[in-house]
Amino acid sequence: MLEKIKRIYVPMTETGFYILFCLQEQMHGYNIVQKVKAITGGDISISPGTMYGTLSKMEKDGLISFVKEEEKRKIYCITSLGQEVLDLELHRIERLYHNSKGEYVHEK
Amino acid sequence: MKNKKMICRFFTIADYKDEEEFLMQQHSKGWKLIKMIPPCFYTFEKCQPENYVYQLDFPDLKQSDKKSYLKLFEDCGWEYLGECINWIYFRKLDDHNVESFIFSDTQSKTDMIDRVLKRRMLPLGIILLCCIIPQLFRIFENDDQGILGYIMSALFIVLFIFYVYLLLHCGLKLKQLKEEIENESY
Repeated sequence: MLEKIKRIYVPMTETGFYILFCLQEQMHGYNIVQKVKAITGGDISISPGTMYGTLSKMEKDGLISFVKEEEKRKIYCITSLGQEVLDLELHRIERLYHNSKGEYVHEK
Repeated sequence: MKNKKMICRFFTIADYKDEEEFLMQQHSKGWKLIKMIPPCFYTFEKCQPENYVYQLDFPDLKQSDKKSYLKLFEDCGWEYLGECINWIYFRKLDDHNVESFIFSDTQSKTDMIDRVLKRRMLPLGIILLCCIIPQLFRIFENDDQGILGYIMSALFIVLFIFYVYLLLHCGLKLKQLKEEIENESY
């Protein structure tokens, strides 16, 4: 299961990464839009069609789960499978970062 | 002076970009969309000429998710205008930035085209293969037809040509749109 999900999601799209990253805390779609805009200095703006589609897909693939609904807004949270995928992606990004600075990454 | 007008204009499932453009132009001329009546009628109301962006979505939407889906769009500043044969219509004042579109990445744009292909083109193709083509064969096998038979045959042939044209037009246009979207991202 993880292998298949890994093949689909890693490397992640920018939208996918930020959504999953934000959902380490419980949030609804519009919360995520605002947070991503704030932490990226306005560089990344996720439109609602993209947000809805990505949340639905991630929920179907078991990366996030629905928690509750508040004032017609659906609140989601990352699952353990989602966390595993996010950790793989974070590790990949760290490697990219170190390599881009000319540093070697040592085998563990 | 009349405050409302109705325009009849036909757009196929592959022409949604043209439809958005048509609605934007109407608004910039001072006519805002108030209602869509399937298959091809639009009602407009006189308004201040302004630059509004119109966007159409074709989501995979469960009835139970509809309220939260619309709430998300409302939170992001989109006005919901209604639905027409599974297409959902939104508009927003054009502020000339990335937020003027309901999709912000390549994947979600091409996903929508895939949904249109699967849910609208596939049924059209099945009707062609399972109903119209077998009926055409039956017409050609049966030589002894009365005048009514000839009229029916002629109608079926016209329907067949119309279907093939529609499928080719939509299929090719959606494929082209998908390629354009994929190329834009490089």
